[in-house]
Amino acid sequence: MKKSIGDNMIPHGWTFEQGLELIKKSGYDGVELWLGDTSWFQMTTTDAQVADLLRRVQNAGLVVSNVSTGLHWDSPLSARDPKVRAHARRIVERQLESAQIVKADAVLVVAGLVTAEVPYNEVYQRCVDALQELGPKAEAAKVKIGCENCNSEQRFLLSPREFKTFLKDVNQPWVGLHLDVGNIHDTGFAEQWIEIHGPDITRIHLKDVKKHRGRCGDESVYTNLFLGNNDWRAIRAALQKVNYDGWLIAEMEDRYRFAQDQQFYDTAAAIDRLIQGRL
Amino acid sequence: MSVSRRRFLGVAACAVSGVFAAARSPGQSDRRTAVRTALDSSSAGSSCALVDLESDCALPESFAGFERGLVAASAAFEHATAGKIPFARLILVPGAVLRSARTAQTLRDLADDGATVVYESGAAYADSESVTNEQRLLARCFGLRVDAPIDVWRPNRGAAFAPYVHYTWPSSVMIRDFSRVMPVASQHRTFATLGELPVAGCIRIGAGEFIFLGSTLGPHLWSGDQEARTLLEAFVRFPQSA
Repeated sequence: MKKSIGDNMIPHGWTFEQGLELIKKSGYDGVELWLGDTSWFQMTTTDAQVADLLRRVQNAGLVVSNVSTGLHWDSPLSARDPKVRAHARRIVERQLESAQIVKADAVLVVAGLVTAEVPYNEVYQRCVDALQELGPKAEAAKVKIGCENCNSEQRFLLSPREFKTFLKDVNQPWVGLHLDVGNIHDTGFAEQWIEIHGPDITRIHLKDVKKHRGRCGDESVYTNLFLGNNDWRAIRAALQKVNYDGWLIAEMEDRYRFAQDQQFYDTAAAIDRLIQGRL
Repeated sequence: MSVSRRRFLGVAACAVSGVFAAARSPGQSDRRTAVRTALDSSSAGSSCALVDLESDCALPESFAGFERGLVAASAAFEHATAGKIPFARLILVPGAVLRSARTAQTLRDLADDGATVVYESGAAYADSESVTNEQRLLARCFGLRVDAPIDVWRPNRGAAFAPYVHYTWPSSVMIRDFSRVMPVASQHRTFATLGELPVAGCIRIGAGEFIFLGSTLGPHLWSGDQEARTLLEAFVRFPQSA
C-alpha cells in the first residue's frame, strides 16, 4: 500500500512547492489534489496549468494519488435546481479531465446530500441518475469515480449494505466507493465496510474518530490516527483479507495548532505502522 | 363541410343536457361537463397529452416525473411539443416557463375547446425576467394572477410552513414542497395550500379548464412519491369521470 496526503493540508501561507517538499520529506509517496480547496487548483485552472501541477509534483519526487473535491457540498449532484445539478456534473467532469492530465486513475465525489429540504428519495434517485450518466465518461477517461461515504455529514447511504445496493443500482463498473474509515462514526465499523465492498473500493481515506463527541459538539469528531475509537488492527486485517493494495490517503480535519508540519510526519509514521502491522 | 372544433362545441353545448355527478373542479358547472361529454362522444382528440416545452421546460426532471407517473398509472397518453399540441381531454404541461405568447394562446384555445390543461409552473427555477413574463401571459391569456416565487426554505423563514402542500382536489393528498412556490392570488378557485398560502388554482376557460400548479409535482412523481401519483391519477380520471 502507498501513502498520500491532501494538498489542502499544506499549512496556510505555504506555496505548493513548499508543501510538496514537506510531503516528500515526511515520507509520502503521493499527493491528493483537491479541486477548489487550494489557490493552485480551481475550476478555472486551465489544462496547461493542471499539467504544470503534475510537473511540479513529479519534480518533488511524488505522484498524484487521486483528485478530490469538496465543491459538491455547495453544489450537490442531488440539488433540486437543475442549474446547480448541471454545475455539480461539470465539477465531476473536470475532476475526470484533471485526473487524466495528472495521470491519476481515481477521483473522489461526495455523491448526494440529504437535508431537511431535499429528502432521501430524491437524493438517491438523482445520484443514481447522475452517476449512470457520468459512469461512461469515467470509463472513457479510464478514471474511477469513488463515491465517498460521508455518513453523518451527508445523512445518506448510512450502512455498507445500503451503499452496496446503491452501487448496484448505479450499475457502472467505473463507479465505486472511496472509503473514509473515519466517517463511519457510531453508525458501524470500518472493517465491515471494507469486507463488504472489497474490490469496489477505489481509495481509502484515513483518519480516526472520537465517537463519543458526536457531530453536534463544538469539537471536531475527527482526530489523528490512533487517538480515536477506530479498531486499527481490525481495519488492517480487513484490508489484508480483501487484498487491498491501493492508496491510503491521510485526511485530517483537526490541524495541529502549532508546528503544523509535524502533523505530516506523525501521520506518515502512523500509516507506516498500520501498513507494517506494528500496532 | 368542415366544422371547427369550437363551432362544433358551441352547437353541442346547446344540444346536450343530462345529469353528471362525478368529480368536478372547484365551482365547476354542469354546462361545461355536458360540453365535454359531447366532445368525448365525438371521439375528438386523445385522452391525455404530455407536452414537452423543451427549452421552455425549466425542470426536465418534472417532465420525466409526469411521464413516469402516467406509465405507472397505465394511462394512455401521447407526447407533444410546444409547436404541435394536439387536442386531448387532459393536457399536461410540466415544469413550464411561459415565455411565448403563441404557446399561451394555444393552451388557451385548447382549454376553450374543452381540454383540461394542467400547467405546472417551473418559472420559480428560471430567471426573474421569465417570471415576470409568465405572470404577464397568465394574466393576459387566462386572467390568472400569480405572485412572485417564494423560496420557502430561505434561512430566515423560521417555522412559517410545514414542508407539505395540502391538496383538496382532485384528491385529498399531502405532498412535500419543492423549495420554491408560485402563490396563486386568493380570488381564484384554489385547491392547494402551503401553510396559508394558496399554490394551485383553477380557471374556467370556455368549455375547458386551466389548472395552475404553483408547487412542482413532477419531481415527486419522478422520485416515486405515492401521494403525488395518487394526485396525478386523479387528474387523469377527472375529465373522464366528469
